[in-house]
Amino acid sequence: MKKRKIILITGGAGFIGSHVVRRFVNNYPGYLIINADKLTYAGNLENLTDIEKTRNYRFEKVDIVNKSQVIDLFRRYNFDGVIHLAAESHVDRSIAGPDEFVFTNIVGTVNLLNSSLDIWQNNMEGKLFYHISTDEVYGSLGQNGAFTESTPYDPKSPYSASKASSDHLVRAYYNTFKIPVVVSNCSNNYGPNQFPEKLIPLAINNIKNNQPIPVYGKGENIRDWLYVEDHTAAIDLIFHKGTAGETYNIGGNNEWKNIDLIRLLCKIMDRKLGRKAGTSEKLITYVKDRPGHDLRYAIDASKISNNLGWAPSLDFEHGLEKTVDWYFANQKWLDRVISGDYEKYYDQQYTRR
Amino acid sequence: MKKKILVTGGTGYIGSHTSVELIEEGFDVVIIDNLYNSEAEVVERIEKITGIKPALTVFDLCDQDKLNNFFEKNRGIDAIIHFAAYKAVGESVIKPLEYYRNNLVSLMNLMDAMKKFSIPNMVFSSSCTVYGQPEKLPVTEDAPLQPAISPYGNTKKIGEEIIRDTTVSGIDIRAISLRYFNPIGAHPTAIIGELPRGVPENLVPFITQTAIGLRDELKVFGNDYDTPDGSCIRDYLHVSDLSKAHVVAVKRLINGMNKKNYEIFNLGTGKGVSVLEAIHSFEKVSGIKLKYRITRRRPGDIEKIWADPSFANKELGWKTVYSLDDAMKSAWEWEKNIWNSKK
Repeated sequence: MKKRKIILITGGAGFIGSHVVRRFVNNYPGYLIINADKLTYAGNLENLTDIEKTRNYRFEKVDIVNKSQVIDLFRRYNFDGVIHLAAESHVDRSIAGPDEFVFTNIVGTVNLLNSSLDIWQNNMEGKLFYHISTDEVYGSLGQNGAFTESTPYDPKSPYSASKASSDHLVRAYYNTFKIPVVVSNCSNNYGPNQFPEKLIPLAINNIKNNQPIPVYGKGENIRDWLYVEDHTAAIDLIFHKGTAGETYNIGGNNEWKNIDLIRLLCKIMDRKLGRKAGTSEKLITYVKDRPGHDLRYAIDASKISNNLGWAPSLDFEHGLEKTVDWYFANQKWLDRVISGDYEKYYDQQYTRR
Repeated sequence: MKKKILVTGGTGYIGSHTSVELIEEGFDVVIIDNLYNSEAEVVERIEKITGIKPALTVFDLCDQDKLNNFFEKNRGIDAIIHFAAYKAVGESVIKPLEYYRNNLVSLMNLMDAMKKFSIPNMVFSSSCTVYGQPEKLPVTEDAPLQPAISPYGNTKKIGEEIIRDTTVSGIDIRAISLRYFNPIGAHPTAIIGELPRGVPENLVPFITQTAIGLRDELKVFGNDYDTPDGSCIRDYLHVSDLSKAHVVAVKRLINGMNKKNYEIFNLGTGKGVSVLEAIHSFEKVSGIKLKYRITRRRPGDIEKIWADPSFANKELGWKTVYSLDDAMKSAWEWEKNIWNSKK
């Protein structure tokens, strides 16, 4: 008979995590979804107010670096699957202070792996540890080519190095202990609920408030962008249809130079705010480049596309419009997110350059 | 050595109160719950009352692998009190298969595991619903069972039959079914109580939610029944009294005091109280005038039922000690407590 699976989603109060939680809670009423999150600056339970009372959803405040908390969590809930998104994710923060990235991203992942191994060791059937990772582990590209699943790892920042390390550990537990695992590496996400330290929400907020839009270097860096709900759909697919031991690259086939992206955003926002075309572009301010700033990331997502039939649903302009609309409609969310801590951080990163 | 009791559904309404009574009587309590209708935080509340936090393991009893795994890790369980079940009468009419599957598969899995892991004792949470509308009142345990009106009620009736048949099949399992009348109220500390999700089906949470302002008005389903004031009559007992009966039943089984392999007891006060009397009791103890409206009869409601608890009084040495007013007062303190904690 069909079993009521209990799924752990770590980092479920964060940007991508909250979208994954919502999708799983709504799409799988037969699952019990446990959202475990430490609620750092990036974790915001207000992202989930629409589903927090749902019968198949529960929140647990857990620090994955704290071994005994993780052990207690796994002892209480006999998880059938783990979708691990909890991570420190902002490259600039990893440069200012790499330690947290080592603790959360590496030690935290090992704690989760150890506890999964502990409860699954007698019967691995139907179990899955799904590690969500980034395309940044592959390093930087020149003008051509794209990362495939077999591209050698070459992380450049403390952030990407910590994610690369956790990816390796996840695969090591598959090889050594036979825990069923999958890993996916995704390009840059954007969309509702993203913390406004990241490029797109930061730019939206600043354009709206007529503040300078900081752009690193000359804005020549190239990133691939994917709408968060398309990433979430891919995660759902991989969790249910992916093959244990495999890695899947996820990307939007949507490369943009930062400066072109900002210009497009300015154009959209001028229209939405009723400003004269070209007004917002004047806010663009070039700031000193991030040290070790990777030039270009590009994802070859043909494996997930061919094997699992996934494709992004939105083109970039529509995705950006939806995102802008969401930030306009959720000013209250943004106001509450922009806390003192954020302001301080913002000053440190941009205004003193 | 402390005796170890597994309480399924131990974070639920009656399960949590029973866990408290068990811990206070010196039992070691472990809980299985799938949190379908409750919160994991209840074990912290139990700790607040008793000083001991029972170990909670979250999974569905329908998952046999996990159940076996649980018993592998938790050896030496002396008895099981099986509360875990879906319990909404109305919902069961709409989702009969889910109710049969959940309430019966879980029971059968549990009994399989009792056999496999040599756990000899079970107390089963049954209901006066198995009597339907009895011909003779008060109702005794030997009253004929009526065809169940709802799938929920039927799961309790079939559940009892599954247990009866298993206990007389020659294996070493003894069981007691406790047929509850209408449990109401909350723990005297107001730290735990009934926590319905959405619109309550039961009278007392509806009363307290109306009094606190969460509901506009209280509906009284029919005042044209053949009763003194025209409203339905029930036997309301305080949940703490009810919980204590489980402790007594568990001790009876563990100490081998049971007279038969399978026994059934009514748990009630023995006194029938009408819906309107219950409302007036609440108004008296809370000092709040309730806004209520008489509406049509609710399909499936029986007219009147109250227990003859003399078998439990005599055999278990158990009887209710709290009054209706006590129960209403505790329910009201609990409701106010929920409300305050949300502010």
